[in-house]
Amino acid sequence: MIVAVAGGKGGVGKSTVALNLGAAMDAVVVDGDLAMADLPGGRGPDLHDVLAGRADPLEAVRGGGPVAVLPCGRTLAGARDADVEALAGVVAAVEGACGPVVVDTPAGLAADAGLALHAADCSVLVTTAASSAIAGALRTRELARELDAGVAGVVLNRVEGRPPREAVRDALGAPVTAVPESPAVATAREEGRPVDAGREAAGRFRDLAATVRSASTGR
Amino acid sequence: MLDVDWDVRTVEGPPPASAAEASGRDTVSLVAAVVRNETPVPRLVRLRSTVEEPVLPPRRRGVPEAGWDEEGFAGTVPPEDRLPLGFAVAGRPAEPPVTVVDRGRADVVDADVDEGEEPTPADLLRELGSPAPPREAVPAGGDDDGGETGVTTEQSVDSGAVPAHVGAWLDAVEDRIGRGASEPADLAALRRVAERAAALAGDCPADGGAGVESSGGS
Repeated sequence: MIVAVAGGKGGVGKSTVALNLGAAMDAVVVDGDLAMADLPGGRGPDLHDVLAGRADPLEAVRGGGPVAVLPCGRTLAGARDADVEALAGVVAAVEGACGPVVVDTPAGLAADAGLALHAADCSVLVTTAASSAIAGALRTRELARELDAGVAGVVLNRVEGRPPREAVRDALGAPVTAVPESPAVATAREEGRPVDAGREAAGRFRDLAATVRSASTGR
Repeated sequence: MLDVDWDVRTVEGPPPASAAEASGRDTVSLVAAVVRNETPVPRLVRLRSTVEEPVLPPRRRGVPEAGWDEEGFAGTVPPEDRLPLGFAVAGRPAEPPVTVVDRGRADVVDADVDEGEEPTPADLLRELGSPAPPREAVPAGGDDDGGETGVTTEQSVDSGAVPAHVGAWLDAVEDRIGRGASEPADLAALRRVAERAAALAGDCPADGGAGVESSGGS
């Protein structure tokens, strides 16, 4: 299964959700943000190298940590050399060899977001309770539907107090998982790892993984 | 069944400095063609450029428009209608610049083959735009390991070092010469640089020209 974690607006926590959903699903997380990579990289070939034909997709997967990651390069030259049309093939190759894949999709509605959704079987939309973020998620949902990456679930991220869960579910038409604002999540994210399994947020990400799995078996 | 009218506009490059440089690479032609279908049915057309150089097709967001490839265009001309097409090509085409092959009626194949069809990655790039940063945004000589855009002009003046992007270009040319893959344009560019550098070196006082007003160079 290939899941695209998307949501038009930047800064809503897509990469955090991708990393934690990847951990909960035991998936490889692909950093699909070709222009502004966000997941930890380290040394070795990255997605830019793979999309430029300089490295094999599996060579670029970093295992060994709490979650396997295929990171993306951070240079403008690398972003320019990358052949984004090859993204779907790369993601499919990783899925074939490693199992489930979670693609961290860039903000906005440019072709890299479109191609990640095109490569995916389904999508998870990430939004905060802010109306601008929900509007971005709505636009992304339209693109996801057009590209056959139907919305399996919505993450209402960084909620404080009582989340507007029903309103968001009605607006986006998919089950909502609320993830509370949490220093533990933020600290883990800064260290490039998923939140510790014992934390409340980790439980929510496991709920999300179950929602995604049941949506994909239900279709 | 199909007729074509065409027109060619050629823009000449600068005259070559020597016969060895006369590659025609700087000359480019714009070829316009109108394919006419006078029959009452849509017809499939294959239009080919007669120039050996690859066709430079119309592009949207960097991706060739649907139907175009290196040889030309394949598509459908509506019944009793005209299909205007145009492309650029290096050099000056012979006459005629294009050939047109009538591939038969377009309505006998599945007419709504496009409907509900999965978009290709190229379709998505055309519709949504490439995420690649524009060429102008990428520092010349920037390497893959990030950030290093080479010495600044000020530093290179101080140290006497060749600026990084100039060095990178020279290295690339040296590499092509080494592989036997240099191009006539390389020789032309090297000569222009050598001439300009020699002229500037001649104008440049040995003491650095402190207090001397520049005369504007050659």
